[in-house]
Amino acid sequence: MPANLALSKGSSIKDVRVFCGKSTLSPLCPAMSGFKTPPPLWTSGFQQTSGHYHPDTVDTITHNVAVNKGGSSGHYWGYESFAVSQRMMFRKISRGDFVKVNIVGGNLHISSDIKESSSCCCILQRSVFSLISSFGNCPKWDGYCSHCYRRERERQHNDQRKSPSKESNSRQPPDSPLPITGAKRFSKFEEKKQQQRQQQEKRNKFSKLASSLRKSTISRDSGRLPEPWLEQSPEVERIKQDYATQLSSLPPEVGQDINKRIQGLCRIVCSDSNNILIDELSEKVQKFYQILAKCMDAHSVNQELKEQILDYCEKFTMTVLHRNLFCPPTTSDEEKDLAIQARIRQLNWVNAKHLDCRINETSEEVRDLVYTSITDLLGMDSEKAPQDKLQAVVKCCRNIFLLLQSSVGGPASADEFLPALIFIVLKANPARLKSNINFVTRFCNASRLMTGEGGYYFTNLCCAVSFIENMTAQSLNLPENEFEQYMSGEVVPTSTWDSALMMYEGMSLMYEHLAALDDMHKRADTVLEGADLLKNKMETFVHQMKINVDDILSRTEVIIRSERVPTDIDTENPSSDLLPPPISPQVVAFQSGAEILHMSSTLEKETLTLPGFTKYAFPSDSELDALGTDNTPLDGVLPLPMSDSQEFLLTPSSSYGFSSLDELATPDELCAAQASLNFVQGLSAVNYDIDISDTIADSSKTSSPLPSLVLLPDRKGCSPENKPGVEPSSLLDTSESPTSKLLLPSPIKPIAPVPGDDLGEGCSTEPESSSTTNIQNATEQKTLEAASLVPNSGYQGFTAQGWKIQSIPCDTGTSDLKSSQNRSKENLGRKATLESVDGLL
Amino acid sequence: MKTIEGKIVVLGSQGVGKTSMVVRYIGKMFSHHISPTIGASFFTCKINIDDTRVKLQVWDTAGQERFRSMAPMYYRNANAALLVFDITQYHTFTAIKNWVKELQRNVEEPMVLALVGNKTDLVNQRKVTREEAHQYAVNIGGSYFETSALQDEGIEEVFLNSAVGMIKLSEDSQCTSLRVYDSSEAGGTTAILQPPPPLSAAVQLDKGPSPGEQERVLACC
Repeated sequence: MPANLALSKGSSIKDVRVFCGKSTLSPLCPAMSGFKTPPPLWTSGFQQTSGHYHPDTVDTITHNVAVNKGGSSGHYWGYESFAVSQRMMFRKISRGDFVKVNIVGGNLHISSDIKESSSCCCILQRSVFSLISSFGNCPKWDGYCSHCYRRERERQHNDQRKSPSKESNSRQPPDSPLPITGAKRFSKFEEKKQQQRQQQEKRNKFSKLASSLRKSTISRDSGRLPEPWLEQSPEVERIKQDYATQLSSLPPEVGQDINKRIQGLCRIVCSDSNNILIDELSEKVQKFYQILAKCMDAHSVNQELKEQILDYCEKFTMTVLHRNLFCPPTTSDEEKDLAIQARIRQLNWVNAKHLDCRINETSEEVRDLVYTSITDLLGMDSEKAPQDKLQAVVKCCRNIFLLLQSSVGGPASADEFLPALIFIVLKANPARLKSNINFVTRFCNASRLMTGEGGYYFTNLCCAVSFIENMTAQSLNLPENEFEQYMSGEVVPTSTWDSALMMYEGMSLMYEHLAALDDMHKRADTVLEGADLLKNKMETFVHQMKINVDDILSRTEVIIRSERVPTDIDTENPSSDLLPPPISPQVVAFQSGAEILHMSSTLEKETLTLPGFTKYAFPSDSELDALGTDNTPLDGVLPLPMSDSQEFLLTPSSSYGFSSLDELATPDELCAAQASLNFVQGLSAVNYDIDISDTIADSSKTSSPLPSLVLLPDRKGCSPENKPGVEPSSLLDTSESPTSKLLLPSPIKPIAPVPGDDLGEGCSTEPESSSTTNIQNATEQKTLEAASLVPNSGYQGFTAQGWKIQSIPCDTGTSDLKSSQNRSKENLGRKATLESVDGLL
Repeated sequence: MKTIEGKIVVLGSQGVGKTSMVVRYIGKMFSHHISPTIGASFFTCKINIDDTRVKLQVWDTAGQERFRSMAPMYYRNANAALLVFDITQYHTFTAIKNWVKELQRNVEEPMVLALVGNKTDLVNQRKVTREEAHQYAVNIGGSYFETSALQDEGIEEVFLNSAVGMIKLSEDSQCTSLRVYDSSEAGGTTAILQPPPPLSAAVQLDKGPSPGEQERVLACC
């Protein structure tokens, strides 16, 4: 067994330099005795280089192959752990890569290809090297590999015919491998030649040398030769175990008989395998099967068991005798193997289309199946028993049917199957294909081979091989010259399997990208959906917010009024300060508030219904109309009721809030403003009562919240214009507010004649500013009425509380201005808040 | 019970419906056993006729002209041949005549020949008359059937007839390639093993398409 050959026999690592393009293949290993250097320059097409291993090489050989490629990238095809796992290997190589090829194990010979394809003008697919070595046959072949041994045999044969002179032996074929290991080994062989000539000749069938010597060698051999089949290799052991139950169920005498026959056959084959023509051996083996069958029939073994026992016998004998019967040196099997291998290599350009084969090369599933079937077919070589080889073929063919099924989309017929099988054989380029086929045809139980699935598929395989061997331009439906060009490698069809491979890579990449794109698309969609959702939410939020804000505003309006109302109270207070200094305003307010709560409501109604007011309002209205356009600038100067400023004094927080709103910058401020508003709102409840009690005019104002609402947007429109005018004033306000208190003692100042001239107008304009724009509204009229009521209210108030009389003119003078300012501020503030809210949303 | 194992090879030009016929038959026979999608080019079936069980191995062949030369490998050791042609295309019928000549030349063993005119569903486009085909079938010593793989007509009869033909062959001592054994009785003396054909196979492969003389010799020894 090759495995028993020790590693110590030589170094296991060999370096083979391969420079593709301009190839130099220099074997650096001494053990690779006859490695033939390929032609210095490789042209396109294929090249085959054979290396012959000297038998004392070890069973594990590592090739380090430096591939120096001309192109930028390429593919490396090879079989990894060739005879063992037979996994297809596919590696990418780029310039300067170091490819390490491990060839492990194997019997008889091993061949390995590195097909290199470069992306130059044409795709070159060539075998970088093909190694043929013989590992296990050293004792049998005198330490020669199959190739050398055969050559040796021929040489001796010729020598004998011509002149048995030793000198002629040195005539070697020019390309015969020279054992580098070297001369020592070879010289040893020369010695052997002298000493053991007979042994050599014994292997020659036509040798007619002295029988005595021959006998001696046979006796010598017989001591050794039966050993290989008696020695229980694990494989044989396994077979025995597999069939243990069947064997035990045999009648003992049958079992013994079978064993005897098996041994007999093994002995005959082992001793004579090199002297008998292979066909005779085949006949012997077939007869052996028949005899076994008859023997079992004679012992009335049932059909099923008989078949199994026949299987066992076949497997056992063939596994034991594999070395002797597989690709024996007496045949030209090896040459044929190499020939078909070369042929297939030459036909590497043939693709599925040429064969009318409906293999969908781009489908991943199909490609996987193609690889599986290729692997199955390659697996044929690693099996030993013909049956197992047959089984490998069956497996391969079943996979082909599967792949056809997925390519064609239905049950595949023979019309589709045969081309597909040819395609697979072409792409697999199985090692020792002919040897395997011949081995099966010779030594497989004929009854199996001729019938059954295995037989059918094997026949198809034979057909495929035959087709490949006889392939012509016609059989591919190609023009003669085109076929020749392809065969010579001048032209490479565009869509070879390899380019399909490359394309496939691109395709798969594209598919990946497409998938990624799809994914991104989906994600984008979800993002967009989310955005839409968010937008909707935002819109609803904005809407909600607007409603809320409106709601709040509608409520805060009241507050604003109420603010004004308290201002009135406040105005009263300072005025009260002025007029009757001893009385504290708060007390008065509270008292009045408490007292006149009911009054206010009644008064409101009265003010609305009072005919006098309307009368009064109309002239003012007309005046306002006239002045309408000038209102806005006037706004800033509009006389405010004194109360406003006063209110600020009393409630500094509110004033602060307004100022902040005015500036309106940050949300924080807004919050503060809101807080202040709230605060004011809170205050309003308190003040509300008070203001009404004080001035009915103001209360009337508060009583009509609607107009104020309407006013707001208009004010907004005015506010930008007001702003510049207002802002300094606002500063003044704040500054004034404290000062106002100081100034208050001089009430005449606010009543300064400038606004005083406009007093009548001022009073009227203040509401007018609103009315001008909103005249259409009936409610406005009310405001106008309310505005016009101011003096009336003053009268009312006056009637109620005599000490307040003076305050009224004062109010109109300064407070009007301030109130307008405040109002504009309010509006600005509100606008600001609205805007800021919008902005936030 | 006697069991006969025989091989039927389906021959005919491309597109005459060989595979459809086989698939149709498999579908009927094995719908519950085997998925017919695995492959329609090879299958076995058992037909019981009276007290005889016939195991048929049906080998479908590729009909393409380019594989024509490979045919001998398929019909080697066949016991029956289904010669399928398309009744709407006369050239398929002439192709059958060539097939028969080839078989007569290369196969010495008696063979059950069944001439099958397929595609009777296209009867209005018929180019090969029933009479002509029938006459030819009689001339070559076979029987003639008309089938429609599409409509599943007459297919079973074809296979049944072949099975019956094989039983007749098995009674004929000349036929050696037919495997006959008695499955009920233990002392199966009727087993006729095939002669070893390895050489023929090797020759076949080496010589390529041309079926050699040796094959016949070996097949009959």
